[in-house]
Amino acid sequence: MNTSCYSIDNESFMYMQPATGISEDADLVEEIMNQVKSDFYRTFIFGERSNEISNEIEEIATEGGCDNWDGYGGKAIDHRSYLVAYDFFNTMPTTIPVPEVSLDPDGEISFEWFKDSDNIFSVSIGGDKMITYAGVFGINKVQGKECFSTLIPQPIIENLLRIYA
Amino acid sequence: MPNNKFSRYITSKKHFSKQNNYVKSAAFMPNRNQKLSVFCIDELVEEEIWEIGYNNISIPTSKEIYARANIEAEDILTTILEIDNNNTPLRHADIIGWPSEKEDQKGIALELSRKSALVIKPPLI
Repeated sequence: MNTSCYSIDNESFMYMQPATGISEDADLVEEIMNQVKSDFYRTFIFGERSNEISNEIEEIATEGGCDNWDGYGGKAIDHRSYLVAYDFFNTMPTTIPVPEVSLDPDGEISFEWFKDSDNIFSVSIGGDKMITYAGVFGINKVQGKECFSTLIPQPIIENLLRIYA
Repeated sequence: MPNNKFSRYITSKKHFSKQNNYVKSAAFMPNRNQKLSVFCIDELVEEEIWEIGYNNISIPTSKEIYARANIEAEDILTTILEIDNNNTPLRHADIIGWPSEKEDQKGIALELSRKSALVIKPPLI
């Protein structure tokens, strides 16, 4: 029997602390790390995952490029939301399954993890980097708000663990 | 007789999942006026239901309808939401009473999405 085993830490293994050094050596290290990151995204496994979401977000950006994109008065997606959403996903632990992606009427991007109708977790993120979330885990329900900076906020990881641990 | 069953017409392919046969919560989020537009589908046959969407959504907005989410009035009213059966246009209603905070709206939208049933639009309608 095969068993899936997820190990979810609060960072992507591709996560790197933002560069703070100002010396030439620091610049060189940053350049090398960026190259390593770029090479990883060119590999089949990590490249596929990143490309899949990138394509989804681009499709959404095209669809939601102007106001009233949904016929119900939906607000157009702005460029900053697009970039933040992409950054958010690429900071996710790579052990988390790729979510469903959609556009909210307020122009924010929504990531939704659906295991079954009793196990769903949904996150919306916009250009201001505020994350709003809601989830259902059997009879338990959660909702809340977090700010995304360089790491995925712990409550987001913990709620995803409730589905995928 | 009270209206019992409603449809939310879906104009974005990203608002439902064929693979998992479910409507995503984003399809149930209110618009900027804090309303969610739906149509009563009581006593209508499938063809008539799609025709309502075509006449009231597709023609005025030039948006294609890909699917719809059916939901019972009871499932809406067990949340804090209310149904404004304004009948303008015919059979139209707004789901109102949304909280102002987005995380609260998401929680309710998720509930509605779980209780709704996805109906994919068949070809040639």
